[in-house]
Amino acid sequence: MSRLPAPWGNRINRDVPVTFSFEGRTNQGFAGDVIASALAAKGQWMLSRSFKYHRPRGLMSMAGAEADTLVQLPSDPNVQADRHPISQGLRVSAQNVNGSLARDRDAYMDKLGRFLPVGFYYRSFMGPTRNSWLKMWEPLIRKKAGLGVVDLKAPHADYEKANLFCDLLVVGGGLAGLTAAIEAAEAGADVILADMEPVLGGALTYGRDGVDRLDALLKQAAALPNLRVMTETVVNGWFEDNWLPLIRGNKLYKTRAREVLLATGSVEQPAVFRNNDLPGIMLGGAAQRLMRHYAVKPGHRTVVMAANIDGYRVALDLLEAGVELAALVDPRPGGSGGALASELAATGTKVIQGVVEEARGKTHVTAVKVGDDWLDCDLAVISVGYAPMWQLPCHAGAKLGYDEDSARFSLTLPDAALGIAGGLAGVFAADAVVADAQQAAQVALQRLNLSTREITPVADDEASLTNFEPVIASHPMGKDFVDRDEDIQVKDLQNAVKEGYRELELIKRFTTVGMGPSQGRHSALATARVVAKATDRSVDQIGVTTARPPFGPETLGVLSGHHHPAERRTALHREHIRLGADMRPVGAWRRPYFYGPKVDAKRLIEEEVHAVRNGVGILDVSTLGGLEVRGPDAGEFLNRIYTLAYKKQPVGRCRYCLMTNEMGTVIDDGVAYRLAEDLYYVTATTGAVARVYADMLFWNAQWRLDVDVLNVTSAFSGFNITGPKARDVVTALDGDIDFSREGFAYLDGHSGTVAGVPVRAMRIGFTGELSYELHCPSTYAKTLWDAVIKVGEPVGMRPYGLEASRILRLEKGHILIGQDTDALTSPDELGFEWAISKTKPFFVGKRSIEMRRNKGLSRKLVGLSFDAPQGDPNVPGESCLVLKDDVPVGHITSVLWSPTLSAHIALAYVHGDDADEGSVVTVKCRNGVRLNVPVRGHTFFDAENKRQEL
Amino acid sequence: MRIYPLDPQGAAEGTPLVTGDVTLRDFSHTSRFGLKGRGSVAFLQSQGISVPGVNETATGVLRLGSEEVVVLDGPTELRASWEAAQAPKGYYAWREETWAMMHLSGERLFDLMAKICPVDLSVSAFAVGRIAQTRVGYVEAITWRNDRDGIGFDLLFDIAATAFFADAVATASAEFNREVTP
Amino acid sequence: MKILTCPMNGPRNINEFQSFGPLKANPDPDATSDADWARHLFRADNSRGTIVEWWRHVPSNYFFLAERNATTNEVIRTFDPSELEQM
Repeated sequence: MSRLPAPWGNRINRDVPVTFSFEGRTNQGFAGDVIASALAAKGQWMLSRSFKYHRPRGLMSMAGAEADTLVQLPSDPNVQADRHPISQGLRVSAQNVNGSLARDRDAYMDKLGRFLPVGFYYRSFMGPTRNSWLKMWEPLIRKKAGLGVVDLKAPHADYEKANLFCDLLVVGGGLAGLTAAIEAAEAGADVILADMEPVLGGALTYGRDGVDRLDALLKQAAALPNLRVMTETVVNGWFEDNWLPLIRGNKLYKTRAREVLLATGSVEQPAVFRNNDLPGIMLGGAAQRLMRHYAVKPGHRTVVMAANIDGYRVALDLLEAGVELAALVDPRPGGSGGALASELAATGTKVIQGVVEEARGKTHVTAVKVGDDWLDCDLAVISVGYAPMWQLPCHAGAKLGYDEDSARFSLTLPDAALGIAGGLAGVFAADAVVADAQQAAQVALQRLNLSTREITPVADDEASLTNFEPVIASHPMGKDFVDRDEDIQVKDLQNAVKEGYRELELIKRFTTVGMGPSQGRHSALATARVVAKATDRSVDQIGVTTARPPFGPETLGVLSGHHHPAERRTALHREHIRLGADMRPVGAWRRPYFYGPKVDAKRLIEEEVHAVRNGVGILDVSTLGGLEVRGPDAGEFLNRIYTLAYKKQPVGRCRYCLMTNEMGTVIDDGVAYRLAEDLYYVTATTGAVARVYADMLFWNAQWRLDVDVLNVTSAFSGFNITGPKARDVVTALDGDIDFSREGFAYLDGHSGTVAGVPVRAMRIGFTGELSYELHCPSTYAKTLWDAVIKVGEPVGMRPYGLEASRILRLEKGHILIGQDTDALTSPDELGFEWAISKTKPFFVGKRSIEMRRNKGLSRKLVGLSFDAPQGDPNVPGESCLVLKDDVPVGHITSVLWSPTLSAHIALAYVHGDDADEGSVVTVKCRNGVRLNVPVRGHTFFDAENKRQEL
Repeated sequence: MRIYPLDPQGAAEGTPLVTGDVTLRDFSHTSRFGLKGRGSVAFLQSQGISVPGVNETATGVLRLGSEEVVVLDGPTELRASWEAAQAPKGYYAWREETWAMMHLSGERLFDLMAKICPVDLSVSAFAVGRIAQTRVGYVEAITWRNDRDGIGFDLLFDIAATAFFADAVATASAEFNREVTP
Repeated sequence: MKILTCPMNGPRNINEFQSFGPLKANPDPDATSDADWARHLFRADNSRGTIVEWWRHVPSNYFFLAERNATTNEVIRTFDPSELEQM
């Protein structure tokens, strides 16, 4: 089939042929063609098989909505053939086909239709066994009814995101949108005009008499620098306060507009009759798009059903393109042609009053039935009315109503910085659209405090003839489709009502009407009419189902953008890598797990543990949270935040900090070093410091004490020098801090200069050994580290990593908040009665701790040990259950192999009655084996804590 | 010797900073005298330093809160004067240690900022002298217009995120410039 | 995305903020029964109409209060906590 001569085909470039393939066969089109237009030009109208009945389907709207035009590209499923451009070498195949498109082996499904009523899935696939649906039916049905195929080897692509801001966002670049955008930009507003299509103009690009008007508007728009035009851009939803995602290709523009004007137009509605889904039956707009955009003649002999003026326009277009017009069928008594009726009459066209009741044809329409007559044709064009594109306005809170007189949906807007214009507002005649759009722009300009002018309204002489509510030609033999995406026929909806479903939301869920890719754009109006009739209510009472974002499908890549997991590095990051550390993520931080080659991990970790127990080790603790609490009320503030008392803590001493929330649950711990009367340096756990800091600020926003809190986590680095030989290391350092046994007692804190670096030193540790923790400003960390490493060398000091640290702490039974505690852990459950001040009148959580104490302990954290060799399966893992009389009462929170004790050691919650040392509890291993083990204290090594006080 | 993240042996050593249509430069070495808490503003004023309004910057002074200030490239004796002063004088805020300081500029500067910052920083919306405390490049950051040599933005953010931030800027600007030099 | 106007930083996307829940009376723990204390901790009024809530602007660590209509989700005003003393 050859193309129509220019000026038909304003989107194609006939000088640039493009070769592509469909279903393995080579085709040629032109640059600017979409897949469907290039195929139609070659006489290939069938594009897919329908979802349920595998009926032949082709294009209907040429506007990219319905499932029928979805095709498969090599690494992209569900591509809209009526919107996706062809490109050289593009390989396109049909979807939902068993075998080939022409000879689909599942076409027999069409004959089985009466055995596949709606709700079929819910009822028929429940047996024979409990899991039949998952194991048998679901995979089978998915294969039969599936759409595209995901390419798991799809190549990497970059997806970008950006923020956009404007005074006015105009959505839709048709006559209304363009006019409004120009009006607002001329008044000085910063305007974005977004449109899905590659060129602006909307219906002006394919409608009759649109082109001249469009050229003038495009010239005006191009001259305005404050009008940003974004074509091929989908506005995919409306969110609170005018925040709209604009998607163009792989880029998401998160757009904040002070004002939004929606000019998204309306969607032409199909008519319902038997076999209304045959290829060759299309909407008026589709026929016009084929001709004006792509120079494709949609058929040789046509019947046009026209219930509005646009139908007459299409008929005249078809005649001009050389299509034989068998008849124009007009259902409206008195006719719908208005002024065009006589123009069409002058062509000698036969006009029949009535409706198309049925179509026939195997894979393409061959005739339609009007009254008692069958009219031969290879094209049936339907122009019977429109529905506004209600999705975006409804996201924004607009209400959709139905006007019985004009047979159309209408929108009522919420009170917001939002307007509608043109077809969306129910205005159709061109001059009326222009005035309406200008007026809508002025309303927005007024709210933007920009100059305004008076717009004289223009009456819409087409509105009354735009929509028509035809008798729905339901057929006793069905195949009268209301929703082509989901293969829903009139009787399916009627049956749903008979089943007792009256509300549209329920009917939708039962029948799946409106759930397909077009999301009701072509079916909602007919559905409402059918349901209204079946339930004896008005269309207004039925309405449409709730519209929610997104407007159209969006890829996960667009939502995700670039993947950027957070990463924070301590000042010693390079140094650890130089020393061969296996760096692992701990929250956002990277920390050494151990030092040395991975293959030797087990041996190296044990060596690191032994180094600390027998010699001296050094651990980077820079990720530990650091907070400075300062001011006259600093002591009082800590008294309220933590469970111990700090007001009388001497300057130069360190004190344990335990934090509970208002429920009396343990949420953090650390150490407070009092540097001065009005200055405490407080540590917090790595993962919790951000929350602890926020909580502190929150409490003081209420208490309003004279105190200031600063998060110095990144500002300070620290390392812990620990082991029996630790003192040999620190005393060898140059500086003014006295690290001697006499000068630096356990839990002392001293500040001074070491190796030329300002240092805060504390005798605290997590290993139970003699420990000194040196903190300094992070830019000095490398200098201090080098100095310590140098003096550590003679005594064999060794850096150790996180895993050794975890073992060392567990050998001492020190808890890790979040690992050994959960959302309910009270201090009493940890045996931390000693950490709760009995004299303070108040601290956060005090009241609840007391209340919970009075209720008795339901569980308690204890130590357990297992003598089995390392790696033995008869040792419980973390989270394994502790049972009492076969009922779970607790679980293992930490379990590790202790190289020091040559045993597995664990902390676990056991029943409160079994918490005494020597009580025997039952633990269930992962392999199901139950072990009876005696309860021990928390401290597995050096139970008297002598070593840290050496 | 003080070592900042991008210095040799620093935590972000070797991390490339983009140059080209977008250019990222490191100013973490420059002095940042920060105070926070009651008396901060009064102390600066007592030193003859004028303090702008909250979230404004003027003559190298950033006002980040009613009692939170940073003096950039201030007189060296400022810290000594502060140590010697009587309370209330605010509390030392360690701003040369908590934050990295960087500068973004280049032909596609505003296109980049639109990608990495949710606040409208365009010339008409964000005046010179204003400060935005927000998120830039996935980290919490403070930014303001500082036209060092051509239009640009200065940025302060968590110093531990230096490498991460440079990577985020490089990824976001890859759309504009492919040239990356170490 | 909703905009929340921070008294210190101006209008910002709501995802720059962290909610800290409704402003509650802080009962005297010693003069409150167990039942009332539990109610204080766990029972939210969840009432219609105007409520006052705590918010934190995360990048600046600034805490403030917002009056919000819990039915329409309209934020009526935001203010610095120092104003609480005058309320």
